[in-house]
Amino acid sequence: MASMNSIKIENINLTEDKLRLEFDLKIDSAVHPLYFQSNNVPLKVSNEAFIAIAIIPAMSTRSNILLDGEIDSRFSKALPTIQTIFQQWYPHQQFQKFELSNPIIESRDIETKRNRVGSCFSAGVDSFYTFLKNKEEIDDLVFLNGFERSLDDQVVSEQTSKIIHKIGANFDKNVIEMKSNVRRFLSKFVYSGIHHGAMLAAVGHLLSGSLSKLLIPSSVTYQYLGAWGSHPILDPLWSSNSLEIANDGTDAGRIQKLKFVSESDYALNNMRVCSQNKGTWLNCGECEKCIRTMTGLLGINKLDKCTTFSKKLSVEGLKNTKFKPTIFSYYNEILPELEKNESNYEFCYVISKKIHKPNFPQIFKDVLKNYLRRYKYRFPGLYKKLRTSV
Amino acid sequence: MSNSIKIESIQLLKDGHRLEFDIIANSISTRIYFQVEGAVLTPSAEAFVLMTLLPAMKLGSEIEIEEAVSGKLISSLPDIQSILRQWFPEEDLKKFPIENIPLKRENPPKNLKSATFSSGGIDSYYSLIKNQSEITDIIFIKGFDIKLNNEVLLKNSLELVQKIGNHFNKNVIVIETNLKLFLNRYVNLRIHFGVFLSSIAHLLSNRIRKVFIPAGDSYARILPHGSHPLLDPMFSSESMQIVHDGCESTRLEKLKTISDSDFAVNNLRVCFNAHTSFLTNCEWCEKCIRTKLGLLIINKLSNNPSFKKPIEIGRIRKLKLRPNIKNYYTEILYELEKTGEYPELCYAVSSILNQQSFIKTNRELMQKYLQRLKYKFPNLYDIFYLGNPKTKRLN
Repeated sequence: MASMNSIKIENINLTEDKLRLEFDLKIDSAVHPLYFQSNNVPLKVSNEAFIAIAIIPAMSTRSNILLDGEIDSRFSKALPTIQTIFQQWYPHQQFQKFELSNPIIESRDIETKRNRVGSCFSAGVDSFYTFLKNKEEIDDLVFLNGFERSLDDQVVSEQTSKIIHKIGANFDKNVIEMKSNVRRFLSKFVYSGIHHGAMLAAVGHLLSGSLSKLLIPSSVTYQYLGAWGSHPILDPLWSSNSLEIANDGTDAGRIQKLKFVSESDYALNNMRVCSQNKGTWLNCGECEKCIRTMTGLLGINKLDKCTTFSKKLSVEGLKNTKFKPTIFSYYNEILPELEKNESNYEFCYVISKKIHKPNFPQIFKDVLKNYLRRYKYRFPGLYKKLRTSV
Repeated sequence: MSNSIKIESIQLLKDGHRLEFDIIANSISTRIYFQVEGAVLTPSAEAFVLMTLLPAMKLGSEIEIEEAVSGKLISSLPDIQSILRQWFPEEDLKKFPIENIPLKRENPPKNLKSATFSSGGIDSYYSLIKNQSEITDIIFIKGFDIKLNNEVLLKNSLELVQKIGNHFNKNVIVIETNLKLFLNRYVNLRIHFGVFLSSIAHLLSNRIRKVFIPAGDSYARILPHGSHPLLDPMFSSESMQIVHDGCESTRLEKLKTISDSDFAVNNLRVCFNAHTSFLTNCEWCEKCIRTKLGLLIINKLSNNPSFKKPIEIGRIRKLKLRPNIKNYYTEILYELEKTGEYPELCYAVSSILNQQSFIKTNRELMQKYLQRLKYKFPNLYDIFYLGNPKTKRLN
């Protein structure tokens, strides 16, 4: 299908101190002003970063990307594969592949080694696992403010920033705090579960004047790999000849990560898993993410040592928490640990009731549909009538 | 860990065309051999590590090796082990430490060749055609898809691969080995697929620097398997790049791509059940039926010498599809519908796609309810559980 639209990156402005990059992303006539701000590490104007940001809008709107300048050869070679993966993993999005117009692709020699290694860090379980596991190698913690939560909530934003900087100081690591409005822009096209990997890759390329490697903590395990924006197959494909991007932590499940992280008392008492937190506590203790982490800590007998949850775990709290099917796998992992202690059986029962629940209406509908489908080819007219009524 | 697995008595014979060695596992010695035509073999520490990886994990043993092994491969071993353990929990594979294996750091060699494994199937044709400007050699293995005692099939398959080599002007490397019989004692082919092919690649490292392993599935459908886009590159070393190739296309898309080559589409071998010299494919098994339907969709079935018999609708309706195979038929059904020409075939494919096992469904429903009871009435659960007798757990 011929592309009719085009995406252009225009009005690129890097401030004199190189800490703020602004640019317009133009899709046909619609202009989207975007920015990235760094607190201390200079940014680099990077075509790879622009492409990582523009790839999903381009595929969603069937646009070409118009870009001046060179594109790294390794990155350029991987682009068709990245697009194929997005198309195959999200067929309902009806992504269309784009072409890079006027590419100038050079096979660059690997530049002078910048040997700093960064790790994306939000003080959650996955972040702490990757950081503690690779502590010797990591120089910088890369915190994306405005990534999980909107920057509009300034209180939470500032509070989170303080916590991350405190953690960085404790471990003697530099904290690169990045602010950006790109997440809000990309969320107009797809939800963050699809675009977050591309966004992290863009940040990595913007920091590639200092970093030679960026670790992205994995939220999935090898056992439960599925379509996700950050994935051990996808993340390395965003790499260039001068920036290695690696997905880290897929080897360990949630319980293993909790066990590893909780060996550090500091990490245990400075973990921030909550996406809802309001007020002075790190974690609200009420949302599903908090509940999930607290039950995991209970299973490994570390809950009473953790002081970051504002509420105690209760059976009632667990009953009132809604579990989406996408997180059932976490609880399937947590259950065997919880049930090692008979005093946890009440919690186990509630969890089991939530995740081991057959959906009878759906089952009945599926069975009926399965039978009706066969008759689509024998009695097409009747099939159409029946289908509209089921 | 009680025992180590070791490689001993390595012999390179017949000017490098035959390699023999003993693998000692659990105090039992097995003589393994590789015999090659079209290349020479190199005893490779990386190959030895890969061959003994799964037996070591199964037995809970270490690998004892004196030669230095590629640092790149060694650094991948922890992840390889994690992946295999998580994907195949029923095999109870154990991690072994790797501190005692000596490391070497190699410089990648230049001017060596690239190869792909080929059996005459759709995936191997696709990788060969897609990368033909780069590929110089095709590798055929006796004792992998085809048992060593099946002389008729081996002869036919070898003739076909030689034809492929001549047509595409590629050197044909034929390797015969009994390694599969050894590995099958510990895990099945689905699990050791990747390590098997990769160890052969490393044994050819004095001629080949890059090997393509044709992918069996697309990114949309990849499931845990011994050969996988995550795993295969991890079997690489500094001097041997292993590439899992072809995930960008589905089976039908690959068939469409290779159909540009009349030779490829008329010289397909997709199954290894044909026991006569008359038939290339048995035309009875699920794989043959699936391929014939694909060829029908792209109008390449009639007068195809690889598939001489017509499609039998009755045979389609008797197929029992494994869950990982259903996706192929979903795609086939979609494409058949688009043609608008084969309503009977669509009906047959649809009926096998929508098979419902009531016994299985009811059992799953019962299990879901019983799992909760485990925590409310643990003693009663113990009496009435319907779980896996091996684990006495339902999840």
